Amino acid sequence: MAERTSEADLRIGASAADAVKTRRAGDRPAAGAAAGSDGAPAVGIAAASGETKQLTCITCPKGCSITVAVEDGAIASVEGAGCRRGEKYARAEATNPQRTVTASLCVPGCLEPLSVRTAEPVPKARMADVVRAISQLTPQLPIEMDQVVCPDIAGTGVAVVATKRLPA
Amino acid sequence: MGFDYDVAVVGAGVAGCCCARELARYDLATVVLEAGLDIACGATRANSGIVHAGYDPTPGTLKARYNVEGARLMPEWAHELGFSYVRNGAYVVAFSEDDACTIGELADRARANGVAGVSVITGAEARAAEPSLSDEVVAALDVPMSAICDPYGVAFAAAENAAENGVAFRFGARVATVEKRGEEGKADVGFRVTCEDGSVFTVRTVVNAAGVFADELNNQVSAHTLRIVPRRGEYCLYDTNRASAFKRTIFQPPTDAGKGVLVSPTVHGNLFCGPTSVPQQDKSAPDTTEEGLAYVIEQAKRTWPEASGRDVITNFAGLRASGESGDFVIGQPDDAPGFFNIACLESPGLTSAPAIAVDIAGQVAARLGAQKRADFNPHRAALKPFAQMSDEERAESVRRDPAMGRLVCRCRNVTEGELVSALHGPLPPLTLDALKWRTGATMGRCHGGFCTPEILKIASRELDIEPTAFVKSRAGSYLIASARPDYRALVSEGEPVAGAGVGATAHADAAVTAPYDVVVVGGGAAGMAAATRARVAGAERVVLIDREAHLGGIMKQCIHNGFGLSRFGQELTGPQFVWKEQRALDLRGAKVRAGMSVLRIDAAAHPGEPHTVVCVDDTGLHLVRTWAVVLATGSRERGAGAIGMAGSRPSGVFTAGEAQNLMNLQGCLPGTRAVVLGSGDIGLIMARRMTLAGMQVEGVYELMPTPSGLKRNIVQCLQDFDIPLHLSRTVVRLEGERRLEAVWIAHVDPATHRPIPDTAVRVPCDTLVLSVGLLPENEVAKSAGVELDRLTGGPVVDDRFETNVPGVFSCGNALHIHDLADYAAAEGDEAGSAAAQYVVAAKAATRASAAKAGVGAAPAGSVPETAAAAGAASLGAEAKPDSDRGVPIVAGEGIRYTVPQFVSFAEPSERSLSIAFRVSRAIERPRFSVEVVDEEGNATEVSARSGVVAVPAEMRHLRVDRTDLGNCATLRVSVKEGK
Repeated sequence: MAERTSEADLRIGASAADAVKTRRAGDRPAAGAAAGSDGAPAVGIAAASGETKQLTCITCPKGCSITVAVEDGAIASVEGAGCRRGEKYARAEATNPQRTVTASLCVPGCLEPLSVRTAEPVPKARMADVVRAISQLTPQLPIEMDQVVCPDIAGTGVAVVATKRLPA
Repeated sequence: MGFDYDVAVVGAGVAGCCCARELARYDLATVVLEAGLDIACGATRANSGIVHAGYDPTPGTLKARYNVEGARLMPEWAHELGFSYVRNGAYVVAFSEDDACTIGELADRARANGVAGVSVITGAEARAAEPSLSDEVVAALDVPMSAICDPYGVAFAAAENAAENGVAFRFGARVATVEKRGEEGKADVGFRVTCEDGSVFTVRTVVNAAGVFADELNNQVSAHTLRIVPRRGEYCLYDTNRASAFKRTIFQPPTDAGKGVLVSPTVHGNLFCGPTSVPQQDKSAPDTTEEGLAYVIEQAKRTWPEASGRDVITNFAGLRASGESGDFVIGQPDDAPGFFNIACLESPGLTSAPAIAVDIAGQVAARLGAQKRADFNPHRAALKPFAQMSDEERAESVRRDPAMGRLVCRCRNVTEGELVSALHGPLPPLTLDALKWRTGATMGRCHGGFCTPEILKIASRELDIEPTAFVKSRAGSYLIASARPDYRALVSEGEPVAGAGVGATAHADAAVTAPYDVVVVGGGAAGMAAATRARVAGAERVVLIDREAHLGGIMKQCIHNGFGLSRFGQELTGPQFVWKEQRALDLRGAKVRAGMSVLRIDAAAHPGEPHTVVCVDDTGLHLVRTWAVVLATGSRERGAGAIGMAGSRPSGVFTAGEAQNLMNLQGCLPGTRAVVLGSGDIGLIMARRMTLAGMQVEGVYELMPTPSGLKRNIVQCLQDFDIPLHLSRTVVRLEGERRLEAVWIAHVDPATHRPIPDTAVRVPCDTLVLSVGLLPENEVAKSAGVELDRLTGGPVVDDRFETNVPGVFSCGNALHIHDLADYAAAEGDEAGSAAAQYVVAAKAATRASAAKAGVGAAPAGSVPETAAAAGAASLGAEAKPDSDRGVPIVAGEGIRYTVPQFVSFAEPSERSLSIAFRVSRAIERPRFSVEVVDEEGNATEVSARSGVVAVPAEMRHLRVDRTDLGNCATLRVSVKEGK
């Protein structure tokens, strides 16, 4: 992996995204477009007490930079979110990051694969499990739009639904 | 002893194929043994394609003799065999007095060689005929007999004609040894030919047309040894939009190394420059080099000052088989009777091939005492390409075979019917490249990005092979790494055909049906929205035409989430977004014709006439008449050719959309280990998609110092999966003779965007996914006479999204590339609504003027001649000059482009004007501004906005109050760095 980390490399996308970069409370927030050389690896989920987190919101294309202050495992403040969705995202991202998973799977009798999504976001750490579990689903034709293909994927409690219609 | 064949022709280049065709005239059993999987794998595939007139070779040489005779035969062969041949003429230009002497000598040689019509003209005369020619040209040799052809086409036509007349072809048969057998004068005299795969052929004679390997074969049977030093020639091929630069082939004065770098149109409507001339030892397929390609463009500038890397769509390299004597080596060595050389066939070898073939076949026949066959058919039953057919021929071809109405290659208009008949032809293609060269499919602007996935299905079905077994060029150059086990069975079942019988206006009775109000071309996000809104805004008869079986365009394969937030207030995947648009469309009652391809638009020739949209599907050719057209034809991806990567041409290079199609619509895996070039959103999405599908993604490499994609995609597609993003890097070279084995990645100077020499590192991978930009697709727009903006690549429109052709509107990615589907759809709303208003207003005006003239109200759906009197709102008026289009909106300081480019003042003043634009470079704390500039040049700011940072990758919008536009000569958008 050494060849990947020369000075111009951007593991964290410093100019574009200061996502999940953990900073000590009181530090200045990450500067926007400074050339990214401090490509710190993505930091784990649980935050130690007295920290602020810099996040890039992924809820909509604007990509707001949001600062979340965490004290004693609880969220003290959320700043920079452009909307309520963003605030909700930031709260979840700081404590229990979640992602919507989309995938496709082969259905017998139809060359075009079925596209599916999780009806709700699943814990980010479970994404690989969810993808694996989706690949083992065996839905049969016909399939309707929004049809539940699996009510609880990989024990997350989240359903997987069809995002296209495949007639018989 | 018995012989397997009378003649073995070794090598299926143009020489071998032409010779095989001439041998087929005699009662001889002939086999062609070819090392590659297709004809013309060597020098024939990659050369200039010039049919030289014959002024260049030294009088008395074999080159002079065969060149002149070959040039004479070539048009006859073109007629009999049906390959492209265009006598476009040539100039050999002189830049100095010395050069002028040289071309004077060439004129003398031309006379000595018997070449007619050659004369010396002045530089001014040459420029008058070829305006793109450099001012440095002082004189030129005018060679009207010079012509161009498609070298592959010549070889293929000859080979197919040979096959039709009974000649056998063996591919993948590389000849290892040739041994003399028997005794001269006896019946058993002949040769034993052994191939590397172990197959053995006993033959009475051998024709050695083995290209750069001809010396090695000759030296096995003759003491008169030959030595061939391959000379590499590299070329740059330009988009067809550059073809108008020159009508003629433009040569520079010849030197000892060859004919120099030439610039020439091709029979395919492209333009090329090249070749270099570099001797090399290696006889295997040559790579292009960064230096060679730069040299070609540098040299081409001498004749064509505008030459640059811009619009270069691909590069290629070939090897010429140069011998030591400087002349061809033709015929039997005196110590090897029955062994016929066609060796050292460098330029003018292509031109000479037919003449040499006639000679050699005659000599072989004489030696074997063969007679001419009475049943030889010199004519090849070549299918006329669909792209070249008249409308009547197209209608007839679809009537005979519905598959002729299904366009697969949208850039070159190649149909499924043509692909199927090629796959079952007398000489069936075994590779994608063979299919490409024979049909033109994948050869267009998109480089196969759109059609390769479709071709894979057709090839798997027709050849009854696994999709993984279909290769690009050579054994091992597989296109995809894996597919579902039942792929072959599923493609064989066939897909339901959509679009058939949806009440299309048949060709014959086109005139009977009243014109549509609005035809929307393209059923992606913008087109679906446009058709829906056209109905909402009052258009009665609206039809949406889309080439694919299902609506949605590229959104169908975008199975990821992130769409719809602004349009539907909900986060949707691509197919879910399409579903919602489809329901809106159905609700509003717009007619849909899926599975139908628009070939062109014949814009109204006279006021009061409708436009005609010419389209085809598997029920026939249709002339759809309409008062208004909304072009929502989307975009195509910039392909590998546009990046100018040097190296080899292996399989495994995909555009992001192509890889996405293969994965999401066909369930295939393109490879196992991928590099993504370009940080556009599609590239980021595909990096995640491939990772989730189990591929290893080595990294995403971006030319620019900033990422091109949305921030959220950097987070959720790369960071979530620890995929590194490397900025200011690019791929400079591809490695791998069959499948891609590695890419070479160099650092890029952030100021010039050029690779920094000696910084390239090798990154092993079997898949390169390109996400290097989208280009608006406007071939249909061009056919209607729509004026395009060089900067956006889309039509120049006013604030109603109307182009310079009245009644023709544009929206979505066809107009300019959008960051988000939601915005493209919103633009579709505007354009669809404007098109409907245009038709409604014009009809009302027509009725009013008709009533005034005492004719009475015109019946709905018909517009009488008096429409011309209705003024600005009349239907089908002539194309508008800029002066009639309103106030121009110009891109000022720091702005790359604006859309729209004009304000028409036709919109009500209470509707604010929205201007979309992009900055030309990244800018911190931007302050955007719109100014009204009056006739005297005085500027008044009417709109402004500030931001944190602006980058070219992000489209911006500003709103202007129309009541501020009084006394406005120009509207100027600019950006300044804030404090």
